[in-house]
Amino acid sequence: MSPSPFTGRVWPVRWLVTLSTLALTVVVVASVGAIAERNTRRALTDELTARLREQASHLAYVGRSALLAPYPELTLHPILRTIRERQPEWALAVVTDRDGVIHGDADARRLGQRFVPPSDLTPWSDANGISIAESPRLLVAIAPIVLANGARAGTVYLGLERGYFDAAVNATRRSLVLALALFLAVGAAGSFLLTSRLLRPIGPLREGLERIGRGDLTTRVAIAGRSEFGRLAAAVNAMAADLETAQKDAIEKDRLAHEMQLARRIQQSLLPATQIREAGFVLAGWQRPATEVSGDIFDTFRLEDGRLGVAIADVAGKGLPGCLVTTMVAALLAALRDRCDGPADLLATMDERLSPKLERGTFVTLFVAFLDPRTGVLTYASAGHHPALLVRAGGEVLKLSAPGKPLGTDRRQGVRATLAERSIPLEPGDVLVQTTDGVHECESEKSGEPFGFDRVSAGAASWALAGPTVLLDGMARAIEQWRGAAAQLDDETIVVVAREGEHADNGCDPFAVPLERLAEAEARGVRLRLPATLEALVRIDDWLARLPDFRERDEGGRERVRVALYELCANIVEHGYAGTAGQTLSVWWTPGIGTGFYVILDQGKAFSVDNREDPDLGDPGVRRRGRGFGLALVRRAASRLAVHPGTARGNVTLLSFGPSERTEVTEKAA
Amino acid sequence: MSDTIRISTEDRPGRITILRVEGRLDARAADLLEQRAKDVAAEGRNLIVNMKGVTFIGSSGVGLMLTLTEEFREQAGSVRFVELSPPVRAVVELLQMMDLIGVDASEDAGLKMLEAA
Repeated sequence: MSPSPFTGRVWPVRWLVTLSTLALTVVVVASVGAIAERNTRRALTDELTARLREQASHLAYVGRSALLAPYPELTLHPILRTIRERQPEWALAVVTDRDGVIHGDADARRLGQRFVPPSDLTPWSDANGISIAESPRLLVAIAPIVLANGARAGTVYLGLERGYFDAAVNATRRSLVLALALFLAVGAAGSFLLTSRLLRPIGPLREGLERIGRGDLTTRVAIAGRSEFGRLAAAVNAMAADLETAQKDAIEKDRLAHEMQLARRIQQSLLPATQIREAGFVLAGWQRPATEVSGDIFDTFRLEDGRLGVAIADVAGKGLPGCLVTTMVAALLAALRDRCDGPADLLATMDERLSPKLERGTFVTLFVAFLDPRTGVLTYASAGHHPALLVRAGGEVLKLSAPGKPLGTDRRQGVRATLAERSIPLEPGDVLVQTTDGVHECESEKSGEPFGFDRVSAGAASWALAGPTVLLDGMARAIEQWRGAAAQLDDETIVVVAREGEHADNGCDPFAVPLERLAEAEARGVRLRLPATLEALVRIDDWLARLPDFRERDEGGRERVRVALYELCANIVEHGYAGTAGQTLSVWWTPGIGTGFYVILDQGKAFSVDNREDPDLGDPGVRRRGRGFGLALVRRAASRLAVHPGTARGNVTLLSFGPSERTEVTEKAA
Repeated sequence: MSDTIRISTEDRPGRITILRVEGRLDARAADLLEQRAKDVAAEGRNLIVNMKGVTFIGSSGVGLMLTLTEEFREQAGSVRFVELSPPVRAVVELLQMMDLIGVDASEDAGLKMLEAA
């Protein structure tokens, strides 16, 4: 896990806050300073103007007496010189007579000259007869000298250097800037320290979150205090705790699922791996659990005395508890079957052993049948299981029931007294079918109607002829189709005990009886009649496209059917008829055995598949010839192939394509 | 109905010819394709067979794939089968022939394999 997804430049909050504080301080102090300076300047100007006026009127008073004396210069010059010497800021101090001739000036050389006021003076204010004018350099008071009779005797010009009060203002400004610098230093340090302290919890929070991110969900962030960070830390801690719980749950769930799978594997290993075939009898079973593990179990076995046996049990309760009881049932069955007199004794003994170990309310229905292959007599007993079906060779269906209470229903006295054995001889072609509840109670997706015993017996009757493998496969598919997309609610288990028919010299293999299959195809199959030419074989594609069996297959499955039929027909055209004109061949698809089967009938030259070896594709010689593996293709594409050359009707080729991997495996095992 | 075979030819630089096959590759069509492929071999060119449009392949078509592989190899050349259609793929896999012939996903991949050889 990456430590932190943030790789860009970091802007530390403490610096951001400090800089903002500084900027704000500068703005505030500068504005305050500017206002203060303006006020200072105005106050200073007022003050100086007043001083100018006062001094000017004073000089005018002195000037009036002086101008009346014979030599005004003698009085005025020393006064003005003293003023200039003592107060250099008075840049202009002149007294003139009414003609503008200078009579008083600090500079003696200018006495007697005509006074020219600075040209850039602009009048500014006028009060008490004294006017104030200003120039960029000077602030000047102009006071008239008026005699007692009101006549004008002269004028006083008194000017103050502006630089003087600029100096005063600058002094104020300097102290302000100093104060500002001080404020800034204090503000910066203060805000830096304060934010550093406030943001201290971010470090531990980030470290904590990174640890959680790396998967350490036991991490807790310890932040005390009542700031928002405290609440954030509490939220982070709550999140880590929730994640930890969720993770533990997920691990536990995984572990349970894994254990359920192990349990399923163990339970599957208790089921017989292969069918039992002996002396014309076949014992087989099939199971589909509703959950990972099943509450059903079945077994087929050979007894030490030569008899064969089959057992099927349904524990009240499915899933893991049911599965555990089934393993007890299987173990007891294996341990006791050779030590008991017969099925009823076996059931009773199992009940005695099992009852004390079952939880209250748990019980087991169990059907057991022993078959003596020498006599063909089947002896059976049932502990509360529903009746078995016996499909006779002629198509008649019998219900085989026997009395008995389920195992574990009578803890004090046991169920022995309620059990009774029954016997029936199996004739050639007879098939016994026994199921668990899940089969006939399987509800249809569309109508909700259960599959029912009638459909079980009808299915058993129609597939009985084809042998146990096809029968079990057909039943499995029929139940599945009945259920549709609805969920499987209960475990489904079927066992079969079949006695092979007299006509079958090759076990219960329906492909061993070509004429029966051909009759079946002609009766209810879908036919395609073709002229025996290679061009005509294209029509196989269109014909196949209309078959439900073909349409249901996936793409690979359809290709297998296409290529196998084409190769077989092409072989008949090229070799069987060897190009003879006017011949035909026929292909049928017939439902019934598994996914249905195909029959090809032709009257050409017979050929046999058995004496042809599968070509070795790695052999350069075979590759060189290129052709010659059409038959290899057919063998690999079809799950069953039987060629019957030269029958009464001609050459009959039978082939079928397995619906699933499972069928192929059982066929190989068988 | 795709009852005819169509084969188009394109010569590429680097002494490579591409044959694009469409339709049913049954016994008769295989003879036709074999003739076209042998013409390419006779010119000393390498071959790419594009099988994208093949709607059906029989044993003779599959056998031809093996024969061509062998014959081009004998002439120090090479043949690549590209863009196998689902029917071709199904049959080739059924016979477990994938290791025996040169198969590529596209014409470009086939060209690359021939150029690298």
